[in-house]
Amino acid sequence: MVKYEPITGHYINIEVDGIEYRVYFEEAGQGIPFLVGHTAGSDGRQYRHLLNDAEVTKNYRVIAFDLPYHGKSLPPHGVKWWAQEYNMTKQLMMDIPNTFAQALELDRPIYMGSSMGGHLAIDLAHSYPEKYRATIAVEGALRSAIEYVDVGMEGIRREFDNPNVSRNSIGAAMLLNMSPYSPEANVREVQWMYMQGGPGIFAGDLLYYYYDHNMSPDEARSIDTSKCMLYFLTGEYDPNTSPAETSEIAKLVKGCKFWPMAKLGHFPVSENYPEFRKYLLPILEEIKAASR
Amino acid sequence: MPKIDVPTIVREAMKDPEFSREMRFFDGLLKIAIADDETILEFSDGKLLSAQAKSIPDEKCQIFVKGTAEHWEKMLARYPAPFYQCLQTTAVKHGLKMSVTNQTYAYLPALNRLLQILREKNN
Repeated sequence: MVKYEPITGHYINIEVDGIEYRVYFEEAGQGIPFLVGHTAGSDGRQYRHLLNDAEVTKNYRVIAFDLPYHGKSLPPHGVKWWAQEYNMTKQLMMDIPNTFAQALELDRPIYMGSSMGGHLAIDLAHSYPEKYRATIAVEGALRSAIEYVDVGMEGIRREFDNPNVSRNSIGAAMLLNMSPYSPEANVREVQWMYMQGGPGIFAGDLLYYYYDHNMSPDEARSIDTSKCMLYFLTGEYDPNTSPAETSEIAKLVKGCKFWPMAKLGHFPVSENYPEFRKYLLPILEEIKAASR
Repeated sequence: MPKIDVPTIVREAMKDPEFSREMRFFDGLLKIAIADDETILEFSDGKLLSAQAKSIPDEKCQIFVKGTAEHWEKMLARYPAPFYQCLQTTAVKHGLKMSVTNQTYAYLPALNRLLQILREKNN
């Protein structure tokens, strides 16, 4: 008997800043709309375990989208993308889910993202609290760890956008972010996805991850969790945004909630979903109760 | 931590499908230093020509990884403590020395596998 998964995929075309993007997304479930954003240089496949979690999808319409230039969201026609350097900005990072949610007529979805998606959860709660009922920052912080920020874009491109180096090495480098407690098959799957990115896309995403996302303490203090609740989840083994870094912002955002996650790394959603969901499910229950 | 016989382990590792695949086409010297114990691995077109305990300056090696005994002890633990989980994390967070060359980046999959093999041997 064929074993189908309850996931369906679609393409939609959305226009952001005069450019039409063909965006791919997968979804499962029904109920409260729950948008999930992937990490830099990867795609929505990271959420396959969540999309298959019946305990979540019985009450939530989980929607995992591929950012433009990622996964099955091809580069836009009408843009000579091959003639320019790809860089992800904070504004585009925010505009994509905002426009996407509007196009699908989602009613104040939850947004959850990991890594650069985690930073985005903070930026959305700060800039567009009216559009989201809650955001969940997985591996989010005011800024990524300074040791990595200090590398600079030139150093980042030397490592991750270098004609001498295959994309296999981008996958290999992701080991630095992962927990030794994570099952090896999952670690290898995360690496696999990183080996498949477009040229320069991971490096260009890091412009947002390391530089364009740089929230000041005052901006963090101004986040109004009565309008858009903000949750933080950060893995113990994440060197790019450690629990220490997340706790800095958690202390500044009045009313937010933060749980460090023992034995998890930078990609908890795909590294070790059974452990991650222990933290996620109570948050979703709380959001559901607040949505009544 | 017991002394690690890097030359012998690397000779055996050349039979490992992943490590030998990821070392394909490598030419030059790869240095592994555990405290003062240095091993020089000489490759030609991905084939291991020699694995010897000897010292050669960093700048003559296409790739080097140099750590203290403490670095290696922590990296090779069955479940390393946070930020000792791999070579790069230990370099950024704890001061392990690694070359910054195109070859280092290109052969990172092999270096990761070698660390995994060393960890398996150590536990």
